[in-house]
Amino acid sequence: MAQATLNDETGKPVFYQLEEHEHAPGASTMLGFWIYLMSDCLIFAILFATYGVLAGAYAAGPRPEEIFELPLLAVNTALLLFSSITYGFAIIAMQNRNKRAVLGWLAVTGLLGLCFVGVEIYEFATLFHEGATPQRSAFLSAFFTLVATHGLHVSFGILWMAVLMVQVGKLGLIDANRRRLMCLSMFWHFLDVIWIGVFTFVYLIRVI
Amino acid sequence: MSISSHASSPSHGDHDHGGHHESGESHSTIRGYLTGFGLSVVLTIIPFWLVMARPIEDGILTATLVVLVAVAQIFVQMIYFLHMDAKSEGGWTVMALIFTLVIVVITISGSLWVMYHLNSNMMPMDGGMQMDGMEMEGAHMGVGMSMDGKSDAQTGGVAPAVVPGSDGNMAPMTMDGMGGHDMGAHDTGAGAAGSQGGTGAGAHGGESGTPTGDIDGNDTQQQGFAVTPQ
Repeated sequence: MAQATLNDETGKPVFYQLEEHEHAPGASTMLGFWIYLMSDCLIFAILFATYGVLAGAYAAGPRPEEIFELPLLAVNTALLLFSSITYGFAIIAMQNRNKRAVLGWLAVTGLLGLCFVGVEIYEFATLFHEGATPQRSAFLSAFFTLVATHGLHVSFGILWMAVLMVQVGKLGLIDANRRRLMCLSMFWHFLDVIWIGVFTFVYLIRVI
Repeated sequence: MSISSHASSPSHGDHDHGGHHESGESHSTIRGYLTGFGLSVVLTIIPFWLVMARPIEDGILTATLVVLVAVAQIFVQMIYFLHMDAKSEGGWTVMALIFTLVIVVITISGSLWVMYHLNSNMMPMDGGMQMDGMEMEGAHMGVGMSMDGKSDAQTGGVAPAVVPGSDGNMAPMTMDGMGGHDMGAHDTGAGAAGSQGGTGAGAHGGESGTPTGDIDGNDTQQQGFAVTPQ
């Protein structure tokens, strides 16, 4: 072990360790992941700011109250909210060391997420069909960028969920998998928090 | 030393709080999740109801309520779903969150603020702009304008022969292509007014005439012309 020793004037040995003390594997993962989420939050903040600045730049194109369908939005919001609580049930099952329940709730959460993405794709397809494409106006560019970025996050969350289900299925609820489940939990709930901002500031406020 | 012994314990150890040394894995309860879910459902239904049924006529009030409810729901989900509290990770998660929120607020409000003012200042203006306190602005803008287009400044340099009769009250200015010309004329006109009666505006015209003169030499003569009578 690299270690240097020398004597100071009083003759007491002075030494210091060159190597850091050990950390338990994964001990700082949760904090690191939280900081990643905060940086993700900044990405969304920039996209929200862009949308806010360009919100009135219709370029004589469609306006929000003409293209936004609130019932569809309500369905999507409900899907995401339900997927949040089902993921919560998966975490409870994980704490109870119930592997089958974890896999079951993850599957339900993933399905709800898929429905959310499906509804969003349907919404986008309808908008494209009506001629409300991202190229149409700055407002629509900002709208599609923000909402699609959120949708992309959800899609990757679903992919992560599928991979994690395979890992939990093969290796069980080992420490590493529990840590990963907690990270995905933060990711998934964080996306729901972002969605609150989306449905409030992107949709509801604009059709009042 | 309990931490290290925990960390080295085999992962399949089935002791009760097996996961507790993993910081961040706070003990979630089904009651906590259900409370958060119930509150979230209520706080989601309220804004949708406010917007779709419109029980309140006033648009501003409705929007304010919708935003307030959204903020409340963000807090609810942060606490019940993301398990935020001041103690997790020794307070570092909260610190990171507060820092992020500060940046988010600066980014969003700053962007909206700056871009709004840019927009309103870049609006095309038609006709004369009627503003009080024009002298100061006119004089300063005149400098910038004449530096931009030398030819305009030069015609401005010729103009004093015509303008001195004017009493220093500017005609309504137009911001279109001829603006530079008008300003140049005004500068020298005000300078002339200074030589006639000596007002504050005249002094300004003299000052702002100087940089113009630096640029195209033609105005140096003209400035001499404006100063000599004094």
